[in-house]
Amino acid sequence: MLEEAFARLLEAHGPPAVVRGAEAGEAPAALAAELRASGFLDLLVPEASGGAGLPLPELLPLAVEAGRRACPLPFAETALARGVLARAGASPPEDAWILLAPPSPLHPMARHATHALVPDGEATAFVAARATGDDPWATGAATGLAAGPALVRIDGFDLAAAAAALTAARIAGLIRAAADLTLVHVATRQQFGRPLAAFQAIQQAMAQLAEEAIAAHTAAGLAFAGERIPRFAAAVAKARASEAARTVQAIVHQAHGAIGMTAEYDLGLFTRRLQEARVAYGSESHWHREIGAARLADRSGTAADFLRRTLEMA
Amino acid sequence: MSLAALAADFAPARLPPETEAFRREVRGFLNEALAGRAPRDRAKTWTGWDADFSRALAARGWVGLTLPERYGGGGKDQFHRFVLVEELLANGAPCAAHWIGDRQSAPLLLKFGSEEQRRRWIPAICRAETFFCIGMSEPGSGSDLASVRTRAVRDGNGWRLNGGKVWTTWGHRADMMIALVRTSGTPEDRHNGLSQFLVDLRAPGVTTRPIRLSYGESEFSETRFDDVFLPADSLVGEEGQGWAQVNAELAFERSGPERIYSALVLLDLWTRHLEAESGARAEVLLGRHLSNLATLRAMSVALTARLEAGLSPVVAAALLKDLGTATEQAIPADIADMVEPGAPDPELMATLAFLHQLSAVFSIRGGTREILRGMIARGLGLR
Ligand SMILES: Cc1cc2nc3c(=O)[nH]c(=O)nc-3n(C[C@H](O)[C@H](O)[C@H](O)COP(=O)(O)OP(=O)(O)OC[C@H]3O[C@@H](n4cnc5c(N)ncnc54)[C@H](O)[C@@H]3O)c2cc1C
Repeated sequence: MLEEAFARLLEAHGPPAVVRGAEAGEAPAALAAELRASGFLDLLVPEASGGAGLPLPELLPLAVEAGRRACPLPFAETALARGVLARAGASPPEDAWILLAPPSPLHPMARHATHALVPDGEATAFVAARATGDDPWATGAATGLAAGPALVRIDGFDLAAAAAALTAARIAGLIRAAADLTLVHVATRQQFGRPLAAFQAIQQAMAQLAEEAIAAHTAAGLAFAGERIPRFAAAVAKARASEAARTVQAIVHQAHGAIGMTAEYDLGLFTRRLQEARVAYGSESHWHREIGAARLADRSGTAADFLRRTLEMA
Repeated sequence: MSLAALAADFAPARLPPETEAFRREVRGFLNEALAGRAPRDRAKTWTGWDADFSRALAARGWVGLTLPERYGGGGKDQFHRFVLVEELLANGAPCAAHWIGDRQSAPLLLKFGSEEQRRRWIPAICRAETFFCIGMSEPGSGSDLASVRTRAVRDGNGWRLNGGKVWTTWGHRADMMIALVRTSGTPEDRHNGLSQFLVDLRAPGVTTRPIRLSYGESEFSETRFDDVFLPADSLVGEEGQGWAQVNAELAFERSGPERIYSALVLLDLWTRHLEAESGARAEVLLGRHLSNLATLRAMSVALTARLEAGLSPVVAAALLKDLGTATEQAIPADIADMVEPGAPDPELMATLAFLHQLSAVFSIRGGTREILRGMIARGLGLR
């Protein structure tokens, strides 16, 4: 229900033309206004503070959907930040677009963001922020952020885990969009008198694409199973989603041939963001290493025991 | 089906909390029953035959855990079975003797068998008295299973069986086989005219011969049927419905922990062998496998919930098996890349050598990688 309404909103107000406009520097003002008016941004804000008071798992499908539409605004990040800030007794400006910005080679969706959560010693600070540096994939990301002074400080929030988890969800959505485009393409594009889908090599690649799409989505879901985002679940989510991003972007481009590389075709909107999201907030090896080191520090039981323990999986 | 429908089969699920006490019980039993067993033996898990172990498990009611109590089963749900199998595999328990009967034959008989067949065979499977094997593949019929040529023709009240099966896992030790054979038409009739039979492997005219694998073990066998008489009550389900019956169980065969944990004993042995400070490469590798396993496990739990709801997510199970076996195969291949010169631990090397050799079969047994991907492609509407 929630998810469908959100998808309709993005479809109507954030179509590829708006995404391309945002890449070129046009503020997606109408989309921003619609998202603000919709109430989705206050999904996690407690009811007492005027929000919907929904639990964290409800954010996942929306975060995935935002990825699927290559939403140029940090929607899910803002929604999560608003929930966290509200619980700390703070209320950010109504028109704030908030990044979750632990140290990272780049910050996707930074260009149209106004604020960020940034590390502040052991704590997290809510600051005004502006994109600086470069935008290597030309998506509206930034390699740097110019941050103002702390407006609010919050304790006990794992910023790196939250950024990783939301980026994993975004990757799952981006993969889904790229996969959907590709499945349609191979069913319609004809060569040798047959659709590409008639060729077994293509069929096998599409099966692998489906596997990776579902693995990425499942992994992202691990981080959104409870009331908060567990560190190791976020690590697994981002690691596995990033691995999937790598495989998927190769498969979808191969299956498209030249058309997939063109600016007017939508595939590049998704694959450029996939590459960028893989790099942002810890690539797979970064998180693999953290998981591996944790296991080496705690070698009791079987690997299955370790997973249940650290991922808080049932 | 579509990608969206396929994804829906993997809707997140959790094991119910009451499985925790059961897990502790299973673990307590395994700690004792497997004490002193070397990793190289543990690594065999569900390919290792140990009838005594199977009987000890059965004595606790853990063979046929999900089968109805009136047939001697445990009457538990699929989540309990997930926990049991997870513990058995993660701890390297030798499960082969009861494995096929427990996972496949008894559920098949429950679904398609006559009341008399159920009463006769299911309690015997649950007591680990009678061990079953699956007779599907033939020398000329592997992936193309519908082309089987072994044939049963009517003879009085019963049937006469001629032909042969191959690659039958533990066929030379099992008591009974459920065989897929042709009862009418020709191999060109494909899925029509196939039926399933209970075949007593001690009956006159049956000969089994173990096949030695290149690494020295003999886990599967070849079986010949020369004019074997099958009594009337050997037919399982309906004549001519063999293909549909075989396919009904594929979701069970492909969605369980045995498609993700086949190399877990090796991963754990290697983990214990590492120093706490083993450097970035080892950490990354270990973390990669753990992150893959965590994802696969969540997918397997999701499909367990579908099975428990009475669904048969066959395409989703094919997807999980393909993804799972890739990780199972990567574990020995990656650990082989990490072994340093010096004095390698002999147990690690023996376990690595065993699993590295065995791992090629992970993407062959139970449907090859290419066949599974073909099923997924069909599920996506591409063929
Ligand atoms: C350890 C182990 C245990 C087994 N246990 C049993 C058992 O208990 N009972 C039983 O009945 N069988 C058993 N099998 C047999 C197993 O089911 C078959 O090996 C499997 O179905 C593949 O058949 P095949 O070996 O004849 O290979 P083939 O079918 O000849 O395949 C060889 C290769 O060709 C590929 N290929 C075949 N057809 C196509 C196609 N249409 N498109 C693309 N590629 C294709 C396959 O994917 C594979 O890579 C077991 C096998 C192993 C390895």
